[in-house]
Amino acid sequence: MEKVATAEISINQRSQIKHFQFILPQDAVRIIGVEHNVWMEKPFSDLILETNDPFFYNLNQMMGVLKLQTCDNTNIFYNRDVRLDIYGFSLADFSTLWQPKCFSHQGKKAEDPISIPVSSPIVYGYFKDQMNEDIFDISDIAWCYRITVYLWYETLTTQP
Amino acid sequence: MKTVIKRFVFDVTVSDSAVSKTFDLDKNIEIVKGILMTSNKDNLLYYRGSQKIEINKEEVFPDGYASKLLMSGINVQPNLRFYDIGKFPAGNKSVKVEYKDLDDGETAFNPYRIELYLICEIEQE
Repeated sequence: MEKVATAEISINQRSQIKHFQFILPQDAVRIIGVEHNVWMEKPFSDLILETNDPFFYNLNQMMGVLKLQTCDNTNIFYNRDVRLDIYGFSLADFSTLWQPKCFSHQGKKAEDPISIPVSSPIVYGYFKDQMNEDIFDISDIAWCYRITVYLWYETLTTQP
Repeated sequence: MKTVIKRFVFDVTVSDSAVSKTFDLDKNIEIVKGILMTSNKDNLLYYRGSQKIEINKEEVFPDGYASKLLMSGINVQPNLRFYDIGKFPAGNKSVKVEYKDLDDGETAFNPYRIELYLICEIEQE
């Protein structure tokens, strides 16, 4: 049976590093996927440069680096940039009427597939803020946001 | 087994609020295979929404699970849009959704409608 564990990290300082952990139940046998989501506390669009240049575009902002690690010899099994998916869809689209947005044109979201056995119930997590470093020239205050990490795992228990 | 798609609708009328709804599946539905969420205001569901979903009192998605992870854009083929949850037994045929709307600072709130689609299998007569 597939289940999911969640962890939420709150970032409110520049270059902040957060450690967290998942404690999986005893019957967890395999980690099968990871998903994550960014929740902004303040509108990120306030930081975006507006310009009339039609060839200027904003890329999806990198928020930071997420790493997950088990206690056994698998060690670090997930290491990935976390991005805020707001602007990348309009890349190289010069139409002004109806530009594609992530909420209308996104692909099917799915977890990043992973397959590792669970020998220890504890999974360590690490997140380092990058976004507040990138906007250092624009904003002198740290932009607050939350990251939710979803860890999918399989259990021995069958469905009822 | 025969495949059917069920549609359930609820409204979010107040900003920063929680909406809890329980829907009943047809008696002959045996298995739920996939879930899809959509809205008449996709941007509000995408940026503000999160929910917990239970089927047969079993948690399928935990509290705070982002709604955007259960949405599919128009770039996805219609028959691939559902989030595959395997073969989840319908049990007592009840589907409970605890939806939370949370201001993200980016979008302006307007009352919006959420549609929950379930792809189910019914027993063949």
